[in-house]
Parts: sequence; C-alpha cells; structure tokens
Amino acid sequence: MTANTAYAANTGKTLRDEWQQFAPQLAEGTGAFSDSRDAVLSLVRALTVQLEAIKDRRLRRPIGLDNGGTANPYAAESWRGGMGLANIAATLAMMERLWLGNDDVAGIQGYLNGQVDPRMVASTTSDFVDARQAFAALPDDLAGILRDDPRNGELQQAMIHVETLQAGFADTLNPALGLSLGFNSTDGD
Amino acid sequence: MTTDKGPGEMPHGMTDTHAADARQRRRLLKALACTPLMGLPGGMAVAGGNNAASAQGREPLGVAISACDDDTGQHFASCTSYRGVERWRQPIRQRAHGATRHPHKPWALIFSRRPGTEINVFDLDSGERIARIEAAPDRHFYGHGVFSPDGGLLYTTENAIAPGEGRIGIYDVNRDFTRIGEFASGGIGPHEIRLHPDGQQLIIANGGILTRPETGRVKLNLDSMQSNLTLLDRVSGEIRWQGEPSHHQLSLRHLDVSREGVIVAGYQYQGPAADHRPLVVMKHPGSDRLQELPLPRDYVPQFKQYIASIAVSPDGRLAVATAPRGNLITLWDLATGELDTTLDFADCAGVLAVPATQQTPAGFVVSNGRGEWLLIDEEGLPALGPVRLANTHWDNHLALM
Repeated sequence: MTANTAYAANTGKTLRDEWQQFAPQLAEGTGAFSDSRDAVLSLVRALTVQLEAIKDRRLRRPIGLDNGGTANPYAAESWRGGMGLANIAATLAMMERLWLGNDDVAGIQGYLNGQVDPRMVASTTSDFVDARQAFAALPDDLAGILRDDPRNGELQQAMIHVETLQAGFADTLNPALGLSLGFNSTDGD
Repeated sequence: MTTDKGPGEMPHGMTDTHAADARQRRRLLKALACTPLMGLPGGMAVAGGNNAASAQGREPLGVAISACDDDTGQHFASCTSYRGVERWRQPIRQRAHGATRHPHKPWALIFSRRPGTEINVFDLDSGERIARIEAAPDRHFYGHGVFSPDGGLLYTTENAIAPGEGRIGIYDVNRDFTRIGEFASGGIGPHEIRLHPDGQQLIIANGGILTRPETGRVKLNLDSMQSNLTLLDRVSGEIRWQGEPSHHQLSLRHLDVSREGVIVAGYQYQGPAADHRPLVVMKHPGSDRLQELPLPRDYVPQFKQYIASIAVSPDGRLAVATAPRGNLITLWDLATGELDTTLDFADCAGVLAVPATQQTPAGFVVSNGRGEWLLIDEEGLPALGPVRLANTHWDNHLALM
C-alpha cells in the first residue's frame, strides 16, 4: 500500500511538473506550437480523437454495436468498480470546460467564433449540454446496465448524443478549420 | 567495381524476353562476381536494413531519419534524435517515404514515395546533400530501398510503368549509384524491402496494387489484385519463397525482420470496412507458411483495415504495428501471435525499434502526422514524450541511422 501510494504521488508530481512546463506553451502558442492558432487547433484535434475513443471503445464496444449486438459488460471501463459511465461523464465535463472557458479565459469556442460560422460553434456548445444531461440521467455503472438491460433506452440516448457531438467535431469543425483528420491516416502509403 | 560493359550499355528493361532476361542476369552475375566487396567476411550475417536488428556490427548514431512536411506542404528529410530533438532538416523536391543508412558510410538515403522519381543522399552529420539518384526511364520508386551487407549495392522497389510490373532496381554505390540492372520483384507494386539477416535474401512486400503516374495514386486493379511476400536471392534474382494472403484484397505493404529472421508484415485491406480480416502476418524462418495473426473482432472497426508501419524488436519477441486510422500503436506478442496491448497515439505511422543509449532505454520510437514523437520501452510503456515539433508532419516511416 505504501509503495502504491508513493508511486501514485510520484506520478502525480511528474505530471504536475510537466504540465507546469507545458501549460505556458499551450496558452501562448510557443515552444511545441507555431502560434496560438496552432495551440487551439491542437486542442480541437485532441478532443476529436478523444470523442472517437469514447464512442468506439468506451461505448460501442461494450454495448456490442460492432459485433452484431451482443453486449459485453466486461469490455466496459471500470467494470469492477462500476464507474464506466461516471468516467465518461467526467471526461465530457472536462472537455466542456475546455470548450466553454470561464470568466477569465475564453475557451476553444471563444477562439473559434472568429474562425468559423458561429452556428457551428453554437451547435457544438448545445451538443455538449445534451450529452451532459443524458449522462446525468444514467447511473455510474455501465457494466451493471449491460448485465440488467442491454437495450436500456437512456443509454441509447446518451450514445446518440456522444455520436452527434463527435460528428460535429469530425465532420463539421475540423473541415471548416482546414484540419485534415490525419496526415498519415488519410494520405499514407 | 568493374564490369565488362559500361553503364550506358546496360539496358534497364530485363524482361522483354526470357532470352534477354537470362542474358542480362548472366551479365549481372558476372559483374557481381568481379566485385570484391560482395564477399561476406567469415560468413557473418549482417543486415544492412533500417531497423535495430540491422544495427549489429556498427554503432547506431542515436538518430533516425524521417520524411516530413511543414504546414505549407514543403517536403523535407529530417534527422532527429530518439528523444525527438531535431539535428537538421533539408528540403526535398518530392514527398519522401522510407529511408535507409549505408552500412559503413555516414550516408542517409531517403526515397520518394510513389510515383516519385528521386532518391536523395545526405551526409548524416552535416545534413549536406551528397547525391540525388534519378529513376530510370519508365521507372518510378515506391519509397523504400536497402543496401547489400557490404554497402556496394543498393536495391530499390520500382514500378516498370509500361508493363505495370514490380522491379528491384540495382545500383552500384561505388560508381555514383549507377543503375546496373534490375530483377523482377515477383509481383505488382513492390513496396517495403529489407535485407534478410542471412545477407543473401531480399524480403519484399509486393502490394499487388497497380497504379500509373498518369492517374496518380488511383488504384487500378482492386478487383483482380494479388499481393505476396517474396524472398528473392539478391545475387541471382531467383525467387526463393513466396506466400500469399488469405484474401486477394489484403495488400502486404510494410514489414520488418528480427535478427533471427522472423518477418512481420502489415496488411492494408482494400475490401469492405466491416469485413473481419487479419492485419498483421508473420513468417518464421523454419516455416513455409505465412501465419496471419488474428485480430480480435472488437478491434475491427477501430483499426479501419489499415496498418502503416511495422517494427520488430531485435530479439524477435515483440512487434509494433501502427494503425493511423485507428489512432493506435499496437503491440503483438510474437510467441503467442496475439495482440498484446494498444496505446492511443493519434495519426501514428512511423515506428522504429531502437537500441538503448546513455539517455534512452531500448524500445520503439513512434511518430505521428501532428509532429509528435514518442519513445516507448520494450514493455510498450511510454518512456519519453510525446514531444511535439511545431510546423512538422512526420511521414510514414522512421529509419535507424
């Protein structure tokens, strides 16, 4: 237990140190980034990929949407701890914060409003709200739902909202910003 | 190197007729027999390839060569440390693909991707361009090549454009890379090529897909395509072994080989997205069979039928396959043939098995189209990075220098 705690503490410290070095680069568009546009677009890309992972791996796979419809509760994240849906909700909440920003700092949406049609931005903002509300109506445990009621209507609804949100990034915002989804994935050899 | 004919008298096409083929082959054999460099000292097996297995016998420099583009679309060759610190980058005219190092000289060669017609040779220390090799008439490159163990000959995968057949171009390094002949590659669309650790065979992935320069990168024969993995005798040009995928639309494209001769290759499937096909294959030295490693059903939608690059650990225990469309680094246990673990890394393509250095552990360097560079250890755990280089899109491959 002591060793585990020490390991967790150490990892946390490393993460904090690295973040403290990285955060100014991200905020100012320096170092790893060409400029602030590059920094914001990197966040858009990161959110796009993360949403795809939530959709495909954390939802579609355990629900069984890609294997002919057989749910697999053990493919759900945190199936032992029963926190599969709570984890997704937490990730979405973090993304929404990055998207919205706060009173002091404009989020991604504030920057994008000057770059693309504001209706696209508003649409994504409302997709975040829909997804958040859909997950709020669900329990924490994904594996439990899949064992008891794999066709649960509220879960289906949450799934649809995640897909809508993801499609907004992948099919609307990325092309509007001139971001190809992948240098290698779309034009490899 | 001396030959009985000057380079100008060596026609490039060797396959017009069988007689011409045989005549040309004899001539080439004679030329090779005259080359003192061709002898392998003490029968030592030294691969001159692009990977960590090939590093035996020389000290790796701790850097990799990769093609990249900047945000404006300008193409470059870049020399970058395993930690992701760039040493130099040089502009090149055509988008490049794979690279290789000369076994003894500090030369990095970077190959244009299809249908490109250039190989650029750079000094590894200074980044200065030493030479530019142009494709022969009616030939273009596919982005890969490899040296003979002694460094006297360069072999490249090429398209014979008029007949649409694969060729292995042969270049005499000691005569300014003069093209001295070619072999049939054993299929259409030869892509990655490696030297077998026996020093004698070339390992070639014939992708099976026909393209022509006038139609760019459009795939012209998806209905009838047939890919194969070929082992070719690099002196006689004879095919020693060939294996075909279980479905004709599985295209073998990229590969790597361990010190012991375990070959691992990746597929790109040209059929429907929902089909459940294997994407990684293996060939053991003692087996005549191409062994397809099962892809778990759950991963089919995520891999999106596409493997970009392969790297095998020098000891042959582990293979890494990058799946850029799935944003995944995938690690395969070669003892069990199973998908062992995956790591998320968006648009990842380049992967290279690297030896330990004073600053970095042995493992794999992986790059992606967003300018990110990640070092993972031999357990598949991130060891360093990702670090990002602004204004950089790393291209498909990394080559050991």
